[in-house]
Amino acid sequence: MTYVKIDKTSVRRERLAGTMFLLPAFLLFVLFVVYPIVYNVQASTLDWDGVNQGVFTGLGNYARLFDDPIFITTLKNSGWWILLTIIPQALIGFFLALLLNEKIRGRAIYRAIFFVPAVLSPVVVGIVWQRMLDPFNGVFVKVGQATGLDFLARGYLADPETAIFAAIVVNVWMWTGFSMLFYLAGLQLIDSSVLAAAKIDGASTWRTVRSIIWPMLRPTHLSLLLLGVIGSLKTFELVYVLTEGGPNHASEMLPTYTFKQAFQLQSVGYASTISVVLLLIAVVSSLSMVRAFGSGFLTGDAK
Amino acid sequence: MKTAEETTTAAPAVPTQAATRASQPLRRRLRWEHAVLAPMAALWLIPIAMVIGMSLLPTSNPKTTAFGMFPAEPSLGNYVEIWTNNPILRNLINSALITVPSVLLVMLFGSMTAFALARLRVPLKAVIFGALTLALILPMSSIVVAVFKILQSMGLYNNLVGLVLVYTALGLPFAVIIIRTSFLAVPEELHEAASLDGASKFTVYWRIYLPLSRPALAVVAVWQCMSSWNDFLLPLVTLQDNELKPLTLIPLAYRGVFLSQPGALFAVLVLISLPIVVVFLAVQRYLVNGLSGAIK
Amino acid sequence: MKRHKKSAAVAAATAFSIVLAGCAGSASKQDSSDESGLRALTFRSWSPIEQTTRQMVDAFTSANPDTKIDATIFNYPEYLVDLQTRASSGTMPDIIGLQPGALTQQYRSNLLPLQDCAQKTWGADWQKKFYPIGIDQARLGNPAGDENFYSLPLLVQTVNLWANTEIFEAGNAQIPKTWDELVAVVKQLKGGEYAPFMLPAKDSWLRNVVFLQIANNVEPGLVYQAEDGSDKWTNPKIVEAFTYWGKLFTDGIAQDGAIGLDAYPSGANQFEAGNAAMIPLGAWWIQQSDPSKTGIPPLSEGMSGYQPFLFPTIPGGAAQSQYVGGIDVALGISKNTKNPDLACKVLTDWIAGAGAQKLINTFNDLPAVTGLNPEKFTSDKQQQIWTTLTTEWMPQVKYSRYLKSPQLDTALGDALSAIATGQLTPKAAADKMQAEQEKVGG
Repeated sequence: MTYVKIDKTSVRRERLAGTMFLLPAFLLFVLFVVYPIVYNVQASTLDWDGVNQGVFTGLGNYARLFDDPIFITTLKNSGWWILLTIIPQALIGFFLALLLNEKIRGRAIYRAIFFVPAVLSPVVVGIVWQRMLDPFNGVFVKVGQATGLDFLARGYLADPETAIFAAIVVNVWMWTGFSMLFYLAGLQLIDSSVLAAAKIDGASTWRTVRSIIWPMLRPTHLSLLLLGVIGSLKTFELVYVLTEGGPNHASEMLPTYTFKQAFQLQSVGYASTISVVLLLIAVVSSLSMVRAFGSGFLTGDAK
Repeated sequence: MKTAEETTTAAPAVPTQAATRASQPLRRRLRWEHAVLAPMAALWLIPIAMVIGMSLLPTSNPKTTAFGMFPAEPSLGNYVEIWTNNPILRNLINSALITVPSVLLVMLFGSMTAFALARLRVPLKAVIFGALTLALILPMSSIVVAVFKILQSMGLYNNLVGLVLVYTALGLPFAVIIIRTSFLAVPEELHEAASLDGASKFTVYWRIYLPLSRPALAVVAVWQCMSSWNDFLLPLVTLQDNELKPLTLIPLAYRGVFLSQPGALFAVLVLISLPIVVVFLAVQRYLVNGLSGAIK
Repeated sequence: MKRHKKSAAVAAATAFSIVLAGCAGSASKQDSSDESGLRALTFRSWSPIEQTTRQMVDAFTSANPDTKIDATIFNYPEYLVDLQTRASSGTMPDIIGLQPGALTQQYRSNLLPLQDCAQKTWGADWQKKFYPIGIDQARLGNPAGDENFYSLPLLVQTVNLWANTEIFEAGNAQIPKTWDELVAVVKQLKGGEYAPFMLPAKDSWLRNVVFLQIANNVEPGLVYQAEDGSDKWTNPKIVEAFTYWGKLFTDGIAQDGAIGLDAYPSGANQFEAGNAAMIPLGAWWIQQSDPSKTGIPPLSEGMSGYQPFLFPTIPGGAAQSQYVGGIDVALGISKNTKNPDLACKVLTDWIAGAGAQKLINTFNDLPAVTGLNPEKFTSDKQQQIWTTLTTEWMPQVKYSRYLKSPQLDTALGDALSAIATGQLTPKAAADKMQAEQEKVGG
């Protein structure tokens, strides 16, 4: 093969290869992702209990969203959730990854400890944290009484002003280990001599971390950002077990509200509408991330 | 694995030189790291200890001690009860039959897609990538009815293969995003050199890219393992026979509105989490300088 | 070379495990559907509990060896998802657990009317077998003119308060009969290691049953008139009931953070551990003393440490505390069942036959039929409580423990939560309920 011939045939061949590489994923995607979306969009135009014949209402369900204060609360909560989980998780996770990327004693154990919360069922996490935060008999209140730290003795989950933030703290506890795992994987992509340099010269460690390592992890940050936004939007089980979206919907998230509408209030049509909106928000936010960080975020061409 | 560690130890000349010089401050610095890590780990452990404590809470004595974190009279009774009342082994095998194939398939299809998106000319790259986020966002409870209908029409109702396919589909976006990032870090010269040697695209992908992205694959394996191991809604709805049921369906029986056995519930949930912790411990070894070592 | 081998091994493993999963899937499918000669039924529900259900299944299948019952018991929210999916795709179980009202109505078109089955089994006056509230509620929400029973009650219950008698004796306190006594007792018992009045108000169902007890003590039956539209939620008597609900929180009766504590497992657990003097639950609490359980805590052993009592009367309200309760779980039969006769046989066996006896032996809740008692009591106190619940209280239950429409039920739970956290005044909550009422009604 010579360089001259490459242009046309190889481009075509590469396209073919590319298609073959994409095919299995594409097929699964159409079956199990596209169809459910179509199904949801269709259901969102109905007044339907999910069992009996539905009645077509056009965009009626969408109009209803604007008058629904609980829907507005879920949007606000999702915003808080995105802001207050992604940043602390990234910072703590990055910090842990830096420390645990080095060969220190007990590294595997430390890694496991920070990671285990992500593995636990949200059901146990929810029940245990509810007990810890219980202002009558919980761990926090008792420790608070023993140490005089009054702020520990408040009923954070019982107060509509703070319930969502308490849930966010639990979420950070749960998922920081996963961010750590990400950064650990990301650090492996950095030339070890760079990391070694940071290790030796103690005086400038902080500068190396800030001006070399942190920027080099940009792809990891971006992946985490994307996953964080989406993970926040779809938070369900933890909130459901911890507060059930309460008190009085103060900690309601989009999926918990969808669930209540579909299965407790028998309004599958309206629930589907909320799901569709959830999808739209996700797509818009991932597209705007592409906008903000350049198309290199997608194609990897720019770096 | 071995290669990676060898290369780290034998890594560039600078650190070796420095290591001897820095051996004294090194010891001091290690202590500093532990001084930060140990209290954090302790803090992280409190709720975990309480989970384990509650799984040891006997039904005969619901009193607790140590700020309510630990049973006054711990016992293994809950574990015994779970073990005797449920076909745990059967369920465990079913869980493995669902999880293992879906992890392998996600790693395979996900890395193929990631390779195409990172290194091949494919039409509509941006659209494909954008569409992937759709699959990430879908909450199980909103799609369970639709997925059920598809599986039914494919004749996969009451069949573990159906679950494998669904979890694979839902796990792909995550895999693609993570693996693609690490493929992008592989220098393109490697790819070009191999192509000039006459290697096919598949060979390049299989022999060069895949082995180099072990850390990313490890993350994907852990994630996919967690999501297909822990889901209970889909097996609950799509499986009929008790012989097919995975582990995650056991705790449901201990929850209920009138749940009076939180100890048993916690015990079974701890049991379910254990295999994933084991997988994590096994896989985290791959999170050592894989790429930087291997290229050199 | 080595790497090559490894990848081949991975590929082989993948293929193998998929084939394995396939085999497992299809093999088992065969043996469930056409196993030789066995008539198979499926049962799904959230109640009774798993262990009890197993005994009921065994009771039936050992008496009818040619049958097989596949029972799955799980949590209520997931049960709703499962039922909806199955009902809309032709895989509904043969026998299902139902709540009266909205849930039964949602599936009405998928259910067999059961009065013929009941009549065939128990005779023409079969309705007399049941507690009246069960018969009332079984047809709750049927369209006008539709007299069919789409579900028959399995278990019923009262909702009431329970006292920890050890704490009451130690504190030399009396079980309160009036609101003022309640306030006084709480004051008297305060300061100990335990909560005088533990209100696990995170759960919407619990908030609603406590409120319905208060409301019926203020003005019996009024809430249900407001629900029908024949009265208004803004009626001062209902506002008063909301006010008393609010007082539970503002007057220091409920423990701190009550609105964040769930009834199960946390509240129940604390009560059983002796951390509370009183708790609002219901007749089913007697299941704590189920003799078939191993390891019963001292308080629950033969119900030795407990006493049920009715929610105290409200000043200016009814002279006597009212009885509130209703169906815990009812059973229905799918229209598509291949074995309607067998399903009827199972259903009636579990409600009033050998299966029912097994069920009641575990004290899971009160039976829907009268005169059915556990074969063995573990203490006189347990027997005395059982007798009180089944012969004195349950026959007198007139008022339902829930509202008919899920929308109103949810709105009520929300309103109570808003009052408890100070977001709404009782008056504003009543206005909101009335607005919701008009939306649902119109």
